[in-house]
Amino acid sequence: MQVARLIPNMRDKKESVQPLTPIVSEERLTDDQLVSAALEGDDTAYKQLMDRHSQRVFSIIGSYFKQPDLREEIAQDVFVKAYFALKSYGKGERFDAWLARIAVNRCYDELRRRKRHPEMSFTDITDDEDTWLEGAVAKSAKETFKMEQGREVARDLAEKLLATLPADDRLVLSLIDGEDYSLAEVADMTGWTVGKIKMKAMRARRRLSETLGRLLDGRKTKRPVLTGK
Amino acid sequence: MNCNEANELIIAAKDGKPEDQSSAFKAHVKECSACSQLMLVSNIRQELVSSYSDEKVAVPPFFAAKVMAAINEKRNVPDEWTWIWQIARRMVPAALAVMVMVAVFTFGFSPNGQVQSVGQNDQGLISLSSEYNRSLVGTDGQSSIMTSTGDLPADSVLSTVMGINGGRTNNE
Repeated sequence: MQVARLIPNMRDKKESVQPLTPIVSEERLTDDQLVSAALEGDDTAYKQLMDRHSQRVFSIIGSYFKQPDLREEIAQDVFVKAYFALKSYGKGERFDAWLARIAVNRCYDELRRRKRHPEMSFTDITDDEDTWLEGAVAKSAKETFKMEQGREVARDLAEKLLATLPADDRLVLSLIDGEDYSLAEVADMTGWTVGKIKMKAMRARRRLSETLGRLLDGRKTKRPVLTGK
Repeated sequence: MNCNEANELIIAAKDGKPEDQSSAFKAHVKECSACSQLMLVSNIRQELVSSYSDEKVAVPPFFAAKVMAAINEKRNVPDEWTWIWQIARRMVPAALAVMVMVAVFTFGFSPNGQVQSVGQNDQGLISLSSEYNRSLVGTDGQSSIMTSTGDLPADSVLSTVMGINGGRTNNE
């Protein structure tokens, strides 16, 4: 009986509990204000900056690396580095662009550190990737692409192809063709000139097209001739 | 239009399809199988590159907390220069101690003001002293060293200084 009597009381109490006062004001502060607060030792402010920008940082890193652990490790490095470099952040500058620059540079370092596989032959691709290529040549790539499995296969094949590129070419190609950044934005992130970026993008496209062309030629010698229809 | 010009246009376009396709370009691609193949390959290439980037990447849980922990850890770790400075600070007294020990072993030291005997390792110094002794041999054939009490035979002076009696060290 007592318990039964207590339950409604507890429920009433639960409903009457006031929400906790937020530590950080609900008012949306600008990035510059949060940076100033972080520089004064307010860790909550830096956490807020992270909440705002971590998605973009992860997207940039994700366009180069697919392993979740590695992505997290790199992202962590980026935010730690950014924290200790906050003094160098110029007010009025876009914080997301500043952070993207740090992320791109960190990715570039990681790409340079990794072993490049300059050559790729038909024997390097799996049966699924071969089927995907067949579909792509038959101009049904879009349909193949829509399926989740097809997407995974395309990603694996893309990873192999991209691994044949030098780090700087891959960096530029992924940003321009993969992430749809403009030449000016890439120039801002990398510190390279627009002309240099254009040249690297062209070189990367040419190399990939040559490799892909060789793979397709390899298919033709192994498989019946494709009609493309 | 030749193949080189067409290739440049195809490669310059993201997906291998130039936006402004002139009639010359269209005509060339229609006739040239290599260029039309390059257009197809460029299109596949673009599909692959964008497929690699289009994956939605979720921020892992507790990411911000992990970063803050890493920042706090780094805050407490002194940087490289601090380490070097700390090592240097420890090295200075050690280096001074070594220098004092070298000086004591080289020049001798006695708390009561008397010159201590030299060890066997200082035979080189003794032979050097003998060389010096010989260089002081006067015209009379006797070596001598000028001291505050007048010229004394070099042998006796060196014996006193080096703690040698009759050409033998105290250790012997």
